[in-house]
Amino acid sequence: MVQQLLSEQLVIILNGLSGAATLFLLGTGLSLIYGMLNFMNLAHAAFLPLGAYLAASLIQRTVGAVGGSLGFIGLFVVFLVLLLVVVPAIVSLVGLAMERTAFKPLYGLEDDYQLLATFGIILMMEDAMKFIWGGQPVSATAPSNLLGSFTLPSGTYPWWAVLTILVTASVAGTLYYFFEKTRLGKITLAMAEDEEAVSFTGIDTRSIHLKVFVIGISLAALGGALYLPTASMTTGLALEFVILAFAVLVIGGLGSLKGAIAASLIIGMVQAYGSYYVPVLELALVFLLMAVIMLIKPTGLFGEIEA
Amino acid sequence: MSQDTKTGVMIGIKQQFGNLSSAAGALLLVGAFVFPYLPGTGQYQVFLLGQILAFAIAALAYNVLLGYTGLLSFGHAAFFGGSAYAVGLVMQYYGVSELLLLIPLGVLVAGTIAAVIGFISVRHTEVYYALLMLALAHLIYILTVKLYTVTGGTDGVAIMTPTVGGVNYLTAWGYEGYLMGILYYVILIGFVVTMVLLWTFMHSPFGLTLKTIRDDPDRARAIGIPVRRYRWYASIMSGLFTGLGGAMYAFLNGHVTPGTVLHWSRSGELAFMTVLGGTGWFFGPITGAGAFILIRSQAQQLTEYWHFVMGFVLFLVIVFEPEGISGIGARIRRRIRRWRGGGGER
Repeated sequence: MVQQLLSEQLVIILNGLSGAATLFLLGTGLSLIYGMLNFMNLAHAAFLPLGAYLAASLIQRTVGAVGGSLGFIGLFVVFLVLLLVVVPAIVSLVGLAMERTAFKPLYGLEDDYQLLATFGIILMMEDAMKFIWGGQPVSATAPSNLLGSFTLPSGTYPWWAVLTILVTASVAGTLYYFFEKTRLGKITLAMAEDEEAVSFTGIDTRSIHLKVFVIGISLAALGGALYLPTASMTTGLALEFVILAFAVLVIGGLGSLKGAIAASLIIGMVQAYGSYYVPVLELALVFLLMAVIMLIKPTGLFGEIEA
Repeated sequence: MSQDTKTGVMIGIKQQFGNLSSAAGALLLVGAFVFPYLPGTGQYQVFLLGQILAFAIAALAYNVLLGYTGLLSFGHAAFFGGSAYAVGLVMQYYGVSELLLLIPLGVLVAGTIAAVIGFISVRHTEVYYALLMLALAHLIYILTVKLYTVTGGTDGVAIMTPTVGGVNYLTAWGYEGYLMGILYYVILIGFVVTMVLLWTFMHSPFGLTLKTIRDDPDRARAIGIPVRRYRWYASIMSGLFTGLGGAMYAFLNGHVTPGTVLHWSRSGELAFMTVLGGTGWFFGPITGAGAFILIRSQAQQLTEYWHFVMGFVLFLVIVFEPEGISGIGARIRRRIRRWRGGGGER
């Protein structure tokens, strides 16, 4: 009985953590790009489905081509390389091309106009994905099936979700290390404070802009790649992910890494407990929470920029 | 260009072209009234113009916030859809089918939602306001989807054909007569009333106060304007008229779903129409709604990827002509004026 209860709680917490992982990968990039570049990119969240669709294509091709010939370890390594390296790399290139063409003309505009123009961009990206991958839901569960699941008193749980949590935790750790300990990270933080002053010291702020942008986008793509093996992807999800990304941004505080971590954990847990105990209100709770936090602490939990 | 010079230019244009443009306006209005009887006009064209007018009402209302108060809302779907759902649900559960009762009801419900959401949201400005509106409106969207026993979930609610003044025009005239006759004129009259009322409000001291807040909130505060309260009033007014547009949309389409009226992308579309037409001009949103619906219906016929077309248009407008179609129009008028040897300034 107690064991059953504990195991149920464990499943809820694991669900919360894996949900938080996706949200963190999605929201951090948006938050960093807003914090560092002062660019309100509504289209950011569309890079998550892009990563997921790409992952689906790559997994299906791989399984079709070499699935049988590789052993368990070989196939697992191939999947990891595809999802953790190849997908973020390709999406980064797409992001880079879009930065040069679509996002660059928007940098000087007011937040309002950035929101609207990037709303246009997300509509375009959605249809582009629909054009390439079709309107049907796409899924590729091979990596998750390969890893299998472990048994708990209340049922089984997929190892893939655990892997997602571990990978995301190490990404969060790396980002933290980057911003707190490395020179480039500190320059980036300084740029968020006063970009002009940094550029006076002879540092090429433009190239740092690009790096932050690409890091953000590849994180969203990684989020999509890790998310795919456990769920299916449909067009239209981009528009749903957008508002979750903004929930992370607002709850955590604009441009704060710590905030993004805290916010995604909070939202992940609210969703996990919500969907277990009050399934009807699961998502509603998230936006209620977002509204309440904006009212109590307008700058978000870790935000310092005055509203 | 500052807002003052924009107003100045407007006055200049009005003086020079006042008679001409008011004549054109009157002509357009008369054209709208006889539209169903024009040769070559069928149900589809009337439906399209009805759509344009319904969205023009909502876009005019949207511009009260964006153009006059300087607040970008990503939550107007809550007012638009709130009204449409109020109409549908009251029809379904209480059997009320009188259009002249249902429209005020939808407007009132939208106004109430706007009063509540607006009260919370006006504590913030700029991007925070946009996001708070987004969050609260999305809450309503999610609840509507999830409470499917009441709202029908993603299936939405069917809007039956209403009676108008107790007369069932559908049995009297058939669908064509209903759509091309009474319903079209209800929407058209609603549009004219909205235009007149909002024009009056926006050119009253109330409208001027809103403009003052838009141009410089700090200075407005300094001269004793309760900025937050006026922003709230503006939100309510915008919500009421957006609700009128939403109710008209519901009657015209006969069916509403969360995805079509309550989703946040609907708010984005209203913002799109307003910007496309030009936020700095009172009549801009009407042009914007018209252009939006026409581009969309053309794009839908050409390709299933019409979202791409719309997104691209929005992007181009913001990058190359943030003042929208009205901005282009004003530039052309200025050029004509200069060409005629009039005032060479600007």
